Amino acid sequence: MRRVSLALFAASLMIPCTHPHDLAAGEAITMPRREDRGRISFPLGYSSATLPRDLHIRSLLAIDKRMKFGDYRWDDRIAATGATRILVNLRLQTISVFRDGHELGTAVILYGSDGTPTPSGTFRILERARHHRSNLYDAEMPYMLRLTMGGVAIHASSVREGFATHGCIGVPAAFAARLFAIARKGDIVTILPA
Amino acid sequence: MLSKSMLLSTAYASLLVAGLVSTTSIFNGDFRFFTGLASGGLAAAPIGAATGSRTIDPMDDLALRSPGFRTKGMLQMKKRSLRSSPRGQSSPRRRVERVLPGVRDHFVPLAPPPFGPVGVPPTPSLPVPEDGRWTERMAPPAPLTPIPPGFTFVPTGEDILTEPPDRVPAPLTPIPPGPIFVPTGEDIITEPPGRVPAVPEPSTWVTMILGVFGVGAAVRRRSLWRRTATDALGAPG
Repeated sequence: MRRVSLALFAASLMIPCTHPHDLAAGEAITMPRREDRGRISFPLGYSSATLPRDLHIRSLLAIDKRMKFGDYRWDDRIAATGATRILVNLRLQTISVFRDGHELGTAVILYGSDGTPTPSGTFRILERARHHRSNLYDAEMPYMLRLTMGGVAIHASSVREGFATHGCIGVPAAFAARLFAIARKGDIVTILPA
Repeated sequence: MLSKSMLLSTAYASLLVAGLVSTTSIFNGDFRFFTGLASGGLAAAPIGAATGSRTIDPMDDLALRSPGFRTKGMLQMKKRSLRSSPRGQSSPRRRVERVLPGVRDHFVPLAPPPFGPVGVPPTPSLPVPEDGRWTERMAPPAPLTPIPPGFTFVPTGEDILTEPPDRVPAPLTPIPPGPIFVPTGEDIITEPPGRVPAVPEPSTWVTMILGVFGVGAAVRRRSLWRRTATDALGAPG
């Protein structure tokens, strides 16, 4: 009896689980989680069909209430080394910064208006500039992380409700400074559509 | 009393049942249930026992923090550019002419007088008799209508000018305020320019005071915004 049950248990562990991308869009695999020190950890990792393939979330910042415009959270006490991975969700109007699957910061963003929409997709950071002045709109773009040569970038902005950008992604300045400090040229940014 | 062997056998039995259920779910094609069971049932057991974990979709965590979706009604305007760049770096502001070139280059002539070409006297509205006399035939009294209060001149048959042209007419007296009845045969009522009181009315006072309050609030708000924006290095994108 014991041997049979042990064999069954081992066999059940060897059966491959369903890959997240085999699921339908919007369907997700629920993962065990635990909350500790303001962080929700997923020990088995988390991925979803709506997330990019290379992003496996291992922990998220525990924010159980709505953030307001201009709010941001940053917690890099967790030991994470590796490339910075940025996830922008235009629909939720949020940005999340990951490193090794751990979320280091999140903020509310501004994105492009209907006339000058923000493109969605996966981009690489092409250029970093502490001080930059837009040559299209005659405006300051501090802590700029350029995504496209067309001028779309992540930069500090005055994030207020009811406002929009010319296609850039505006983040609070303190958040932008922290993000600028850890982001490197070539890091991947994914913008989920609105 | 539960012995150690009984507990172990119970655990193994539960594992056996779980394995059977998962196997049948595979055959039924219900992969999601299997995955949830395998990941949440087996692997989550020690973690959940230690920390009291819940199985909630992590995407819900990302949605909880969202300030909400943007609606078209929320989109008021694009951001304004800051006057000053961060850390006191003053950048030269480009002077932009805010005039449409069509407006600037287009010559707009003076508007013609509304009553015809200059030099031609306006057409008199009243028929002028050749001999300079007003007759009852040319300016008949209007049919009597209910006269509104305030009329100072009621045309009757005796009020029509019948003086000969050789007589010096009486000097013009200032027209008293109020509606004047002009006997043109069509009962046209014209309003003379009334007196404008020197002291504004209460509604005007209220509007002016509210405007002063509004200007003060705007200045205060703008200064606060500029202070925070300079601190936040905000800029339009």
